[in-house]
Amino acid sequence: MKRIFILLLLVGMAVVGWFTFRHPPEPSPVVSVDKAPQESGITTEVSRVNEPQKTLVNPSPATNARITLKERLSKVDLNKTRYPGMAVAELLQPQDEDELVDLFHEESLIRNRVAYMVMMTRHGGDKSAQAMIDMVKSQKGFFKDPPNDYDHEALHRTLFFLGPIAVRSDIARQFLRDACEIEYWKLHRQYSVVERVEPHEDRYLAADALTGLALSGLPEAMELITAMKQWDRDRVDPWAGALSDAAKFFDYSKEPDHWKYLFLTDDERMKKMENWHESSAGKEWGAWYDKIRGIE
Amino acid sequence: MNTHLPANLPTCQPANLRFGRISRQILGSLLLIFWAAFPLAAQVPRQVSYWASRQYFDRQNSASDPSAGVTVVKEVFDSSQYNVNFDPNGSYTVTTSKDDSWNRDYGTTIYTDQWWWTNPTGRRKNGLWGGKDVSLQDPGIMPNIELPWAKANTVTVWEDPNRMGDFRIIQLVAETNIRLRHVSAYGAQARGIRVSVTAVEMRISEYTGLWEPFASIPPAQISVRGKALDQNGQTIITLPAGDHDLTPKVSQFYPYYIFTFDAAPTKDHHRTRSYHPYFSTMGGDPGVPDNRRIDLFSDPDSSMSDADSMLVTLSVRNFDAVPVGAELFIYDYPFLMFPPPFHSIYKPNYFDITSSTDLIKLYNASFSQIKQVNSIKLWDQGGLEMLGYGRPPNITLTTMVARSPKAWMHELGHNLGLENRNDYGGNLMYGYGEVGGEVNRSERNAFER
Repeated sequence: MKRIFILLLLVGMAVVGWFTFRHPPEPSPVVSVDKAPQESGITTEVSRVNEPQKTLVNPSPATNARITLKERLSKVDLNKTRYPGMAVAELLQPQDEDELVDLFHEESLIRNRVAYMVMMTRHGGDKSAQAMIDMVKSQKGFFKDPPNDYDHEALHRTLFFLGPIAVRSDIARQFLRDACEIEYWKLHRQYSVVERVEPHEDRYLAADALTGLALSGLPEAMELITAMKQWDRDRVDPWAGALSDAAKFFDYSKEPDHWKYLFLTDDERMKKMENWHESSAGKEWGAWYDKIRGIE
Repeated sequence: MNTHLPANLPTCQPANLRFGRISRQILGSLLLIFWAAFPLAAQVPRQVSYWASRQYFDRQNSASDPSAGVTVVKEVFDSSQYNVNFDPNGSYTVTTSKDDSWNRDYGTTIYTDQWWWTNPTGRRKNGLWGGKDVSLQDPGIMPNIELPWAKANTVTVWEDPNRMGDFRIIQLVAETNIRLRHVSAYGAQARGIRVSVTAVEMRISEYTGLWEPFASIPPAQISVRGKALDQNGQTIITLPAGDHDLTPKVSQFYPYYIFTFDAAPTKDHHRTRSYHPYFSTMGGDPGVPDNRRIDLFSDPDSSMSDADSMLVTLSVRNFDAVPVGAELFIYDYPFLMFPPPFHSIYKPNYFDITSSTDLIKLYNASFSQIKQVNSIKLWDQGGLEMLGYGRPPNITLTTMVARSPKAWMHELGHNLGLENRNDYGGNLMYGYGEVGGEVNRSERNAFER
């Protein structure tokens, strides 16, 4: 009997040990902001399922979760046509993606989707990427002169916004990789623009995809930049600005808290851009640009 | 013969070719320097000077004198100056007389002493002092007379301050005319001049029987050439080169006031501009607003005085708009269209700018200070639209959409080192879309520096 008891005890300890190693403790419910971008759109549902557990330790995320994003946004000054700013960034949670996509679809004009798209760059994954890509692909008709057509401008921005999402979404990543090629747009672009811009529109779109991909910081972005830089002068000339910009955004992507870039004020972004051009990397790219464009 | 020369020498004369090329380069450079320097040469600093072109002062004062009766002194100063070198034409006369009791005790005393500046200068003194003749005539030593710049209507005051029957007469007539000389390379083209005036009402002191300052006259009651002063006691007027009468006027009635006057040219900012050749396929020159000159002279909100104690509060200081003595003059760069490599119509990277690197490179190019392009839409930078991009030290970039004069001044502000000020849509330095016209004090300093 005693032997049986000892045997059962040993078996019990073994089971407990196995269970312990097989199932490590739940991660802390206080999710680090830095970890948040690692979560893909697919994991959003899991996060929601886990919400009650989080409430036990730290009630604040669950309290926020009960308040819809729309309600939270109603408390801040939001201009849908502009970049929303850091106050809005602080309201965003990974589980907001579905609602953000809904808000995105509620707007009929591309220009009114700018703020939502920037918000999607914070935690958005495949769902956000798909919504944005569908919008880009579905554009038909005619856009007016760039200075007067904010929808056209917003359309171009969309490609750039896909960059930060590409870190979490293979859909965005693959799309941007394809969209960096002019040939992609020659095949897929359905809309037209004013005569002056039309011959260059495919290149502009590809350049925006390139800069977006660069902002993602994915290694293939730098591979592409390096490869294009090797092109002969005539071929690379029209791309000189975009390549230099892309190198800049790739540098940005290596900075801590780089996700904040799209939530900075316009002036902060401009200042950052000017500072980069004054940096050693910026000057190196500037010298290359001058050489390609024949600027003395 | 140089045996080290290679066998396959060119048949032409390289030296001549090189010289010819250098000559053309030098000639081209000289031409460029000449044309580029032309607008700079036009930046001759303007100067103003001012003086009292006529000062008339007629003052009579009979004051009670317990020991020697009443002394009546009448001073008349009448001077005209027609140039800034103080070449007066006038006279100064003092008439002194004593009352009957003095005359009885010490002898008749009534005489005049007169100096004149009219060539030849001289002095004449005549009359009786203690019953004796004081006649005198000599070349004259001009007395140093510093009378205030003043205006007095004919004021006669009979007073008996001590209620002792010692009446006194105080009479005054004063007139000062101010003349300003504007030395300007722009001749008949009117340019801004900031005029500052302070005026103080004078009243007779009960105790001394003399005219003494009583209170400042509000600036709003003072005008120069029909323009009322702002709360700082200043106004900006435009004048061509030459001499001008700038005598201040006071709208309310004051028996007697004295005033100070100052004037200085406003700041002229000169910038050259050029535009992308693509404009020539779209109707030509994108144009320059307001006949190539834009000013900030007007006061948008009746600003507070610079001395107002409320201005210690930062928010008030930031918010209160002030008139600015600054004007932007825009000249065509000798080569009005962008040169290579910024000129391409087939690769219009510098016409519709979408790359921040393209923007920076165009901005840094030295061919003109203002470069007009069609649009600046940096998809990645976040501004809904960029009307322009200006940064120190010397470049401003304005797009075709920036037809508004205020937008040009906004970019000039950046050019002078100012940042956007987005707390109010009426600000000149408002960073989003249509800008307003309001400039605060620190911005004013940048524009006027």
